[in-house]
Amino acid sequence: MKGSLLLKMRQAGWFDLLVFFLAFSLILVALGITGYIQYNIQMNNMDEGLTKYEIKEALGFFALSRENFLTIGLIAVAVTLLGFALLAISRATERQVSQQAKENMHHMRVVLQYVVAGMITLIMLFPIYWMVISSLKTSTELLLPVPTLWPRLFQWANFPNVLKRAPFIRYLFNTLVTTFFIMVGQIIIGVLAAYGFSKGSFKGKNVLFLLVLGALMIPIQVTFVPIYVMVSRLGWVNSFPGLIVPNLVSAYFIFMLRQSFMSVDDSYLDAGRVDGLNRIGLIVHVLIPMCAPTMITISIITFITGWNSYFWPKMVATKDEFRTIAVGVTRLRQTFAGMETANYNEIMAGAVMAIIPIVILFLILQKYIMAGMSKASMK
Amino acid sequence: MSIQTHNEKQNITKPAKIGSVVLFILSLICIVVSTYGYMMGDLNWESLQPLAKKVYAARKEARSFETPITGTIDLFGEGRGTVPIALVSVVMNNAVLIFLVGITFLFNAIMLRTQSWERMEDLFTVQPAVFFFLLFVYYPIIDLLRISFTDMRMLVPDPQSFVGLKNYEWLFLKSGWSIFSESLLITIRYTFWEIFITLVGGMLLALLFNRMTRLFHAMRTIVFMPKYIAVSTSAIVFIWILNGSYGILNYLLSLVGIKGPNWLVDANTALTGILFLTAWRVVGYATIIYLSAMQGISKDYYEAAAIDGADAVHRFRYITLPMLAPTTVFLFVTTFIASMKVFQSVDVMTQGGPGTATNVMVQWIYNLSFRDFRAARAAAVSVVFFMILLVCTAATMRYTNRSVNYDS
Repeated sequence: MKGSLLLKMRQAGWFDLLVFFLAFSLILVALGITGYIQYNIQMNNMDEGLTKYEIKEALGFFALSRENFLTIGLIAVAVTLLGFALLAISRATERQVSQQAKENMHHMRVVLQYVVAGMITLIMLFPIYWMVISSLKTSTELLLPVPTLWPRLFQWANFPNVLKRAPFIRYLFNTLVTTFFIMVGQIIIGVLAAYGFSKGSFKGKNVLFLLVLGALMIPIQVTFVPIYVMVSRLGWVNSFPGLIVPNLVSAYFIFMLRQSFMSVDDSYLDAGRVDGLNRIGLIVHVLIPMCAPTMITISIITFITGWNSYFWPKMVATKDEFRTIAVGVTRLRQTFAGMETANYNEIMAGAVMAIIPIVILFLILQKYIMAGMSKASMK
Repeated sequence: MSIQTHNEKQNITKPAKIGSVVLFILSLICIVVSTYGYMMGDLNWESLQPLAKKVYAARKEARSFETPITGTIDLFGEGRGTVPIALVSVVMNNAVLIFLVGITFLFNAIMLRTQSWERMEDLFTVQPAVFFFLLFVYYPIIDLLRISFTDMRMLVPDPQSFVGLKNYEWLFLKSGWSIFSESLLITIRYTFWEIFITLVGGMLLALLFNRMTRLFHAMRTIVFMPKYIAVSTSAIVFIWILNGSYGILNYLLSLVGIKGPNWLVDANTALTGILFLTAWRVVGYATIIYLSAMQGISKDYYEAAAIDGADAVHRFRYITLPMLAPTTVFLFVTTFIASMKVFQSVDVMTQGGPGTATNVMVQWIYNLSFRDFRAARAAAVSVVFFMILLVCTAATMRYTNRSVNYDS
């Protein structure tokens, strides 16, 4: 009887998983015990009269965290054993369980899935919630030992205060201008190049396309020193061209759009040519309408990436006149010079203003963004 | 095919021939002028140094009085005609731009003679993009090498002189090495955890959120959203959440009896603090990618497995996991490339501190160039870091290409 139960348990996939967890938790327990032994040996050999800090320095990693290892290990062992017990019960009573009970179990599982998924969603939403709530609190409420989940007093004045402290409208304007021109440039140059690489025929096409693919492998985080030198020689530090021009073409954009254009059948282009369309006409009237979803998705992603970009704008725009919002928000902290903890409500108000446009845009266009993301992974 | 090209050659019209000659002459002028300027400026050629000095002096004067550059210079030796210094200065500054224009002209001059105008028009559509990549992606790589052999400092005007391998000596044999190895280790640790969170967290959440109802769609959208919120802004929020005395995280930990550390100020926990933000940002993205791949797995497999009596764990282990292998590889490679370059969150949350606890590679290069103004050292580090990135990326791609089952 007992043997057959074990056999039944072993047929379940959960069994392997539980064995794995058991081994893992036993290793943790073993590490904890090793830590205790090591701790005792080391404490016996320790010189007298050492300070607490010196003892801490002298002890090894396992000796120091012996309690953590042992506690976590023992809890894991207990949980695993509980799992084994549950598995045994479910297998032993398998025959006696009625169809009704099985259905109930299934419903329970679905409800559990909803509950856990809901909780995780709330956790993911929490930082945004906390940002908005903190931006409305007063300084005193902000520093309470027990944080309040809902402001007792809504201090809307935080928002005008931030506007007085940093030129947020200017930041927003700069970001909008920069992002707009980056998007326009990437679309015009990108569409032309995608057309040439997908539907055009000329010598050296493959070599030139390799140049585009290679550009995907060279990040600006590596090459920013020469680019900065070049831009500063052109006199573009602290100017819109400096913010825009180095981002005007994106290899990713060209690559994705080329894939999309390639899927359009050549016969459509031929039909267009018969109707007397030239290249620009073919792109505008045939290719773009047929690849509209991809175009929209890539354009949105370009816009959001431009809006959020931090690395290059931080370098090239060092004056408030040209700072973009992503950099401007972090500047806000420095304006408080050491007093930032007490004024975090105002910093949060700035952060709220910085992300509102993107959150709204995301929620409106999420259909396209999510579809595009899944497509990107297939390529 | 050969007949076609033969015909094309005969079709080359007279304007095309004339055009190609004109382009050829223009390209020669551009290349000669820019080479001269490059030798004078960036290469700091010895025999041209007296001339270059005059230009630098004129520039300095113009900068201090905030006037345009004036005066002329005997470029070709005494009495053989003079050139405005302003022009020479512009050529020196933009030598690469002029050189690339010349190269483009030369390329087109050759192409004009070998293919029809019809094909040339196709070529013109890709040329703006190619020109841009040459200027802003490929030339910087070459220039990075050049800078790494000079003594360039940020914000200090030209000229720089060449110092040979001194920067690399500093990096590998002197004080740079300990910082470099430590920084590389921190970056790898960060990368490991980001990949771990992406793959494991993304997979678990994808299994959890795999239900196609409206409510679940809404929840997925919310889980995915953090990816599109600016890292700098979310970093600001997380600084507040992770605050040692007033942060909500430490308050929640204190409810279960744990005294939370001062996350971002304590050298032992700073990287963990940054990883909280990373987890929040990347996990939703991985979930969406995994989910869309799961939707693509045929239901037949699961039905067949159910007939064989496989339970949920077996189905996951023997169907879902292998079928998702290409997606896992995709996520692995993209996450690896992205996380090795981590900068934003570190720069906002800790600026590489406390001490050097979160001094990831890009942060270090950035600090070298814009805090210490050691552009040449930063370039040397960039070169080595770029090599590491290339080798790692190529290796992972090669290895994973062989071992993954792609036939799904």
